[in-house]
Amino acid sequence: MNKRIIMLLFFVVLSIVLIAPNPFAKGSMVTASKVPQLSAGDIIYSINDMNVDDALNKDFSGNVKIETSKGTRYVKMDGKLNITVQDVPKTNLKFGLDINGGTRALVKVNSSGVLDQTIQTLQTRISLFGLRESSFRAVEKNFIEISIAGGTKEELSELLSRQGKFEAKIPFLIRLTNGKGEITLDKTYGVTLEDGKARIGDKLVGENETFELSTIQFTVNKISQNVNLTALIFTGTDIKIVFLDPQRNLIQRTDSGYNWQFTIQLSNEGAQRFAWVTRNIPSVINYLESQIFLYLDDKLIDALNIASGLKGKAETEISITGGAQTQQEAVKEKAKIQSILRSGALPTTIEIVQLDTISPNLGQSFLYNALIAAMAAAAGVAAVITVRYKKPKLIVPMMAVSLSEIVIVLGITAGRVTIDLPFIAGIIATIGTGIDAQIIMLDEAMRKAERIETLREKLSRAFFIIFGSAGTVIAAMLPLMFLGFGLLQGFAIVTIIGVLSGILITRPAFGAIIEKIVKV
Amino acid sequence: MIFRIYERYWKLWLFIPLAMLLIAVAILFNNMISTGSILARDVELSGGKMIVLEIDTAVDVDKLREKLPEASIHVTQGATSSLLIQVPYDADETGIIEELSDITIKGEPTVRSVGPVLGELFWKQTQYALIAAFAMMAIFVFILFRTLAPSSIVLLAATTDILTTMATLSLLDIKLSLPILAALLMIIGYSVDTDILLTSSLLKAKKEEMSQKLKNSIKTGLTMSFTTVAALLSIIFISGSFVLEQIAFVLLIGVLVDIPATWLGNAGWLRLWLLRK
Repeated sequence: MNKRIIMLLFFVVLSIVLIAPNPFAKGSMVTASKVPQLSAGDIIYSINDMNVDDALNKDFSGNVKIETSKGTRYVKMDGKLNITVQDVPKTNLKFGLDINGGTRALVKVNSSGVLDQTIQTLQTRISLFGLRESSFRAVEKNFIEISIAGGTKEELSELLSRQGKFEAKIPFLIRLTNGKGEITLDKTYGVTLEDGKARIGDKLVGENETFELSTIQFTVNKISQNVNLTALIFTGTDIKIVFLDPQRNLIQRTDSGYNWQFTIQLSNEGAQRFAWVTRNIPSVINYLESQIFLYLDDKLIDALNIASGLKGKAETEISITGGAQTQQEAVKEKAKIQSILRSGALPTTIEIVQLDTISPNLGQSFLYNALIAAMAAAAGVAAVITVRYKKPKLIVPMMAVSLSEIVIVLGITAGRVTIDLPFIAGIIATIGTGIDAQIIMLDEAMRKAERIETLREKLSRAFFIIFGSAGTVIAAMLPLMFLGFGLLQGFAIVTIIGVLSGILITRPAFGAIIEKIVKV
Repeated sequence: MIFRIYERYWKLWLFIPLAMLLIAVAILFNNMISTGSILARDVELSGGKMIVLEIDTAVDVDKLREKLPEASIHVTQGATSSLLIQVPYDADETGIIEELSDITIKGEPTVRSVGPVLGELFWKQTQYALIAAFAMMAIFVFILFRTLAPSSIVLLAATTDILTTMATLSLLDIKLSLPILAALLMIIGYSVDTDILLTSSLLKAKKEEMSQKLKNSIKTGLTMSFTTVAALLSIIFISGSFVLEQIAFVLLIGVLVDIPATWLGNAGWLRLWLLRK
C-alpha cells in the first residue's frame, strides 16, 4: 500500500485512540462528596455489591462496602450516601457550555494589578458556595471569564456582584450632664460641647465627621444634649474562622418561615474593641441598650442584641442569624453569606459585563442539529460531485477523506480544546477547504494534458494551488489567535489545525488514492 | 455556448464586478455616515439581551411582535425549531419569558446578556480582526505570486467579494454578530481560493492556451462553488440552529458573489495585463 495512505490510516487510528482511550470504562466518577473516604475524581464500581445508581437512592445503616479505583473502602453510614456521581467519561472530548449548558459571566475588575487576587477570592467564594466545575480565565488586563457547569444566573450574579466588605458597628450615646460627659475605652476621655461641635479627648468633631480614638474608628451621628456615636467594631480582616460544623450552624423552623444561624470567630483586636465600646453602654434588663449591626457591602444583614453579661468582655465569637421563606432558601442564603465572609473581600469592586445562561437541552439539540446538517451537507456535496464527474465511486474516497479530517482534528484537540460553537464553525471551515482541495486535485489529475505530463506533475501543480489557498486561510485566522477575550480563538485554532493536517496528511493521501483510481 | 459569449465580451464583463464593488462601497459608506458603523450590530457587539428557546409548536410571530414591541424576533425551523428574541440590555428577561406562557417551551431558555461597554470592546476587536485578517491574507498573496499586478488583481476580487457580501447583509437587514464575523473571516480566507486557481493557471499559460486554461479553471472553480452551495443550503434548511444558519447564509452570499468577482473580474483584469505584457 502507498506510504501516504498508510500515514493517513496511522493518524486516523492514533486520533481514535486519543479521542476514546477507554471505550469500555465502567463505574461512576465522584463529582462531589461529603463522605471523607471518597473525593472528587474517584471512580466507584459498586456499593455493597450493588449498582452505584441504585445504591445512591438507598438508606444505609452500619458499614457500607464501596469498591473504588483506589481499593475497597468501608464507610459507617446512617442514611443516604451524600455523594454525587456521573458516568466515567468514555472519551477525552471536552464539551463546553454551548453544548452542556451552564452559566458564564465576564466581569470587569475596576482597578489594575489585582486580577490574580480577584480570581483567587472569587474561586474560593464559588467553590465554597458549592457550584460545580468552575473555570476561571483572565482576559486582557482587567477582565475575568467564569464558566460554571451548574448553578443559576441569580446565584452567580449574587456571588460575583458582592465585593464582600464586612463591617460590624455599634451605635451608642454619650450622655452629657451640664454639657459634660466622658467615654471610657482603654482610658477615659472627657467630652464637652463647643459651638455645636463635640470635643472628645483632644479631638474637636462635628456631625457626620469620623475620627479615631484608641485605634477605634468612630462616626458622629448627632450632637444635641447628648452625643450620638457609631463605633466600627469588626471588619472583614477581623474574621478568623467561619464555622461550618453542625453545632454552630443551624436552620430552624419558625412561625413565618425558616431561620438560619452560624457562628464566626473574630480577632483579638476586634474583641478588644468590642470590650472597650460596650463598657459605655448601659444595660436594660437582660440586654445592652444598643444592638450590634452587621453590614455586608454597606447593606444591613443582621442586628444582634448584646447580652448584659457580655458588657466589657473581649468577645471573639458572634452568631449571625437571618430568615427566609423556605428551608431551601434559608440554606442557600446562609451558604452565600458564609462563602462571601470566608473568601474575604475582593481587592476592588467588580462589575458583571456579560452574563449568559445556556440551556443544556438547547446545547444537546444543537449538537444533534449539527450532525443532521453535516449529513445533509455531505449528501449535497455528493450529488454535485456525481453530476459533475459521473463517477459515483469517487464519492467514497472523498467522503472518507473528509471524515478522516474531522477525526484527526478531534484527535489532535481532544482534551485540550473545548468543543463549543466556534469549534464547530472551525470544522465547517476545515471541511470546506478539504472538499475544494479535493476537487482541484481531481480536475488536475483527470484533465487531458496538452503536453505529455505525468500524473505526479499534474498533482504537483494542484498542490501549489492547495498550499496557496491553505496559506490564505491560515493567514486570515492568525490574527484571531491574539485577539483579546479569546473571541473566536477556538474557531481559529481548529481551522488552522484542520487546514494544516489537511495539507500535511489527508491531501497527500487523497493524491495517492486518485493516482490509483485515475490509472484504472 | 455560454463560454463563447463569455469569451467574446470579456472586456464588457469587467464592469459587472466593478459596479458591484462601487454599489457595495456606496451602501457601506452610507451606513458609516448615517449610523457610525458600516454594519448594524447585533447584541453581542453592541450590548443587549438574547433569549433562545427551543419550541415544539408553531409560533405566531406577528402576535409575539405585538406583545413585545421592543424585541426583535426570529424563528428557525429544521431538525428542531427555536425562537430567538433580542431585547435591549435593560429589558427584564423573566418578564418576557412569562409573556410566552402560551408557547410550549422545551427545557430552560438560554439567556445571554452583554453589557454595552463590553459590546463596544467586542466591536472594536471585531474591526481589528477583519482588518488584520485581510492584511495577513494580502501579504500571503503577494508572497505567493511575487508579482505586483496579479496579486493586486486577486486582492481586488477578494475586496469585491467581502464588501459586496457585507453590503448584501446590510440590505437584508442582517446584523453583525460573532458567528457572522466568523463567516466573514472565512470568506476572507476562501474568496481567494478560486482566484489563486485562476491566476496560477493563467500565469503559466501561453497566449494560444489561455482560453482553454481559463475554461478548465472555470470548470474546477464552479464545481468548488456548487459543492459549497449544496452543503450550505443543506445546513440552512436542516440545521434549525441560529448560529449554523447565520454562518451558512453569510458564506452562501460570499460564494455566490465570488463567482462574478473571480470569473468576470479577476479573469478579465488578469487577461488584460497578460495581453499588454
